[in-house]
Amino acid sequence: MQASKPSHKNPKISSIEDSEYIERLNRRDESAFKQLVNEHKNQVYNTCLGFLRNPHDAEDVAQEVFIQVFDSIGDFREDAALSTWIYRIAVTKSLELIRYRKRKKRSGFFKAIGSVFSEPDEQEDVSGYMHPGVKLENKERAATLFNEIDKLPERQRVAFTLQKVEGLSYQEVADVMEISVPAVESLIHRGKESLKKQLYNYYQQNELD
Amino acid sequence: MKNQKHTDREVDKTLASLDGIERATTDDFFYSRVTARLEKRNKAQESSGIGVAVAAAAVFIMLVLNLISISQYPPATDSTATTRTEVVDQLASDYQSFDNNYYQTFEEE
Repeated sequence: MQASKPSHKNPKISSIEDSEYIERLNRRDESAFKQLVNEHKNQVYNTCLGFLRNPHDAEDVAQEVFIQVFDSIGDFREDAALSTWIYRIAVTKSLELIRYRKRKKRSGFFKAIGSVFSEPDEQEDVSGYMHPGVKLENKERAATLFNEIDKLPERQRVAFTLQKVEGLSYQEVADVMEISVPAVESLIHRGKESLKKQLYNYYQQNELD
Repeated sequence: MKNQKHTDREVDKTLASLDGIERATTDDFFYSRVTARLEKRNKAQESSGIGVAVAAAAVFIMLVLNLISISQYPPATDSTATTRTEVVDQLASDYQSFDNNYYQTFEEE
């Protein structure tokens, strides 16, 4: 998977996002679904990758996102933008996988017993993975930053990732998270403060070592 | 002091390392993979639906066979017992293979 320069911002889909288009999706129109997938695949993939930092997991979850969109397009309320609704599904699915992995980690004892009888776990170590969109000269620093982002509380992590990695505006983040813009500002501000402290400790410790 | 300034600079640089990040993209075959996954899931659902239907049909057939056997073969009426005690005694005598007086007879001898 590569990174693309143009239109990092959320693609505005107002041209196609009308009742007729939604109606076609509701009727399981294949061309409408294809259009939807192709319009939003990179937005969804990049969002998932921002949270999961593993291309296989991001691809897998991105596919699941579109399957859920296909299944539950009837639940879509047209008071929100379609892309906002898709972002919500992408964030929810990514967080679900992260929580699942954490639970799995906690139950290490049972996992160890289970591994005797099953195939080895395909889960990869994400600590070494780098987002392909990061500039070459920033790769090392970005890896450190991503590791620290993972330690943030969930809501701060969501707001920070959507804003920094997916490049959404505060308003768009607020729409996706269904909170107010000041609440987003507060989350991102607190996230940055926490990151500063964490990074400070990290560099202090590394220098001591 | 100098060390602290250096750390602060490192922190700021690291915080800014995601500035200008480009969007990661998936390939042109993504849609094909999504539709293949959808089809696979639909087939799995269909086959599990068939399994449920077969199980339900089997249960239905068993019920019908039971009902037929109940209606075709009325209960045995050759029993002469009328009260509960008589029924128990009759059952005991029908199925008892062990003689309760065995040891008593043995001791008497």
